[in-house]
Amino acid sequence: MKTGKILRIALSMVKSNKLRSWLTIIGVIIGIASVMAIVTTGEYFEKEVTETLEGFGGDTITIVASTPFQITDEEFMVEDSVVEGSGDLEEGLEENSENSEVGSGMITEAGEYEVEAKTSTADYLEPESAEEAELTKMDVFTLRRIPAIEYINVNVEHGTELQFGGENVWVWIKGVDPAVWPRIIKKDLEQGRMLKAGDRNVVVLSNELAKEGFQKEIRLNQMIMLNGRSYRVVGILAEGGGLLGGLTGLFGSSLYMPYQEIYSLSSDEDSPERERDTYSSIEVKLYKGADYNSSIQEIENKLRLSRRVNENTQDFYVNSNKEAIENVRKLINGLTAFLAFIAGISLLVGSTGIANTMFTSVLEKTKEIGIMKAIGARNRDIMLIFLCNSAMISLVGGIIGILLGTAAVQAVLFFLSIKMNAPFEFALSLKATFIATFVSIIVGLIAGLVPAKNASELKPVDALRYE
Amino acid sequence: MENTLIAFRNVWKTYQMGEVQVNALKAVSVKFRKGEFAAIVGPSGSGKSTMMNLVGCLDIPTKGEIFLKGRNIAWLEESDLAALRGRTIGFVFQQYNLIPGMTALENVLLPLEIQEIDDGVAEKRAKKLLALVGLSDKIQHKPSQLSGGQQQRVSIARALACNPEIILADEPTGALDSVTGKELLAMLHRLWKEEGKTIVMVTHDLHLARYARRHIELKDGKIVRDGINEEKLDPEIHYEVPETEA
Repeated sequence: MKTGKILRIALSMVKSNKLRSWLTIIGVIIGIASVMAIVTTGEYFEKEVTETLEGFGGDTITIVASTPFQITDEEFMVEDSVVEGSGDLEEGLEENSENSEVGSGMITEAGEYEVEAKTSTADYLEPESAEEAELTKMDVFTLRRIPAIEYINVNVEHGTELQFGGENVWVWIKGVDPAVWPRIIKKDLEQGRMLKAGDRNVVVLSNELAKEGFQKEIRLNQMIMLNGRSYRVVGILAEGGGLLGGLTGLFGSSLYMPYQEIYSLSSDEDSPERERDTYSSIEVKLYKGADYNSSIQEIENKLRLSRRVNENTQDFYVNSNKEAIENVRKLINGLTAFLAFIAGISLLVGSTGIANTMFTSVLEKTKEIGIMKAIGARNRDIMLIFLCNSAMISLVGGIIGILLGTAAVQAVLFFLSIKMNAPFEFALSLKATFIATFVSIIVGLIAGLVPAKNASELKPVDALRYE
Repeated sequence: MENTLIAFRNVWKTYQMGEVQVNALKAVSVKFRKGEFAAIVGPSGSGKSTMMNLVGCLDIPTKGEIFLKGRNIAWLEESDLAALRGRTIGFVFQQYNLIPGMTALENVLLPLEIQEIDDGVAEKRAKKLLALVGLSDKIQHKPSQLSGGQQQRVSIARALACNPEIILADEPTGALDSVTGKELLAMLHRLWKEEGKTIVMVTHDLHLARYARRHIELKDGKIVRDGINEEKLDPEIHYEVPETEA
């Protein structure tokens, strides 16, 4: 029997009991819509979170100087009473190092404060080792010798007051290498240009600072004041896209300028002038295809050598967002898979509905099966008719489910975009659409397989006798 | 043997009814030749229906052999047997057995579609057959919109769709009034006489059986009489076949 005829008979079977067909289809719709909505939402948030994290550095490797803490139980045993109440750990170390002997204080009955002499067996870190570590030109030279590295950007960060239109706002400035920074930054430019080599007295602002930092919007080519010096705004970065786009502006730096100018900027009482050619951090971008993990290892090894430190005395750390992004991505993927699995259970329930409908249909159509067999229909024809019948039910359910699931996702995203004051973005997962369509057909076929096989194997003589 | 369409050779059919085995047919050997009009008669429980199912290749014997156009049906693959049955035998059932969801035209088209006949040819043939049985104006009617006699005529048109050599009629007038029954018999008679079709009719009604040329009488699963009907056909029968298209 030709496929077209089989499909026509299958369709007439679906239409012959519309109510039952629709009830079965609803079961599939719920399952497919749930899977579709969850997978699409999961994929959307994975993309959003990844983009947001990439906005903070993405696949660049950041090297930050850090004073090592060589604290072990043997070297540093401080009574709780001593450390308690002290500020940060470094402060506590300095205080303790001034007194080789400390005792626990107590107030006597007479109200005098007595110090119970107690010899401490603990050793403390040498004050010298607590000196602030710095990243220098030497480190940049070292990094330049690593072949996997494509770009090296040095950062000098500094917080200061920004004056504009009679208002003062505290901003976090990031001094960057103007020749490299535009090549590694993950943000787009909305207006103007990026920093370039040879720039002086110019800044690039984040979108959030330019538009919402002051009552009056800071426009391109306007002058702003930093520590009494004038700077021209040559570029304004684009706003982070999507629901979480605002987070980049919230937690990231909001003002960028050539790093050389930061040294002269940081001369106020609160923050002493930073030593020239020392950097807050160094950002490194690898060539495409370079082995990420081995490059990080190489960076660590070479810097240890040049800075004459070992694993225990290491005074810097190499930070990579890539791993964090991967972890977050894995977490979201895992969560999505778990929720999709839960939704898949409803799809399973839907598929049992199809199987049930098909079994009922086979019973109902037993006599017709007998008639068709008597007039020459083969087992294969009967089987295909019933399989097509169940596939049609599940495919219709799948298509409506995909539409409903997608609509549900848009509704949720629209609601969130209003709540978070972010632009609405249409989200459609091709992967989810493909999976949902494929799964709906497969579910239909599997659910219809046994009833169809039963139908096809009916003996014509028995089927004709069935009432 | 050349003219033999269906041959039974020592055919047994046994049914298991709980603990008891019932022999519906016992060592039946019979041949149906091309161009015959045979009536299988007998009282209820004599094995007529079993014989009818076996003649129509809807069932296979428990023991013995059945040959359809020289081929042992027990050895045929299901799909081959279905195809052979579809091409060779046309069924007219007592309860018409039309597909309720299909129109008269679709019901007649169905065997042609199963045999994968070209759509245009199939439709032309189905319409011609419906015209032959006098239902040109009812081709889009569903079975529920037709009378019993009209449904049986659709059933005959369907049986003729693939131009089979054998028409197998199982109590064809059983659900019809006497006038319509006579019309139907006249139609079968004409198919036998004018078209040269082989007609095998199963009936318990001896009055109806008189119109057949050969009588095969069954009793308790055995053929007790197999011979030519010497009685002349009822002269009262008027072959009131409805007008047909040329």
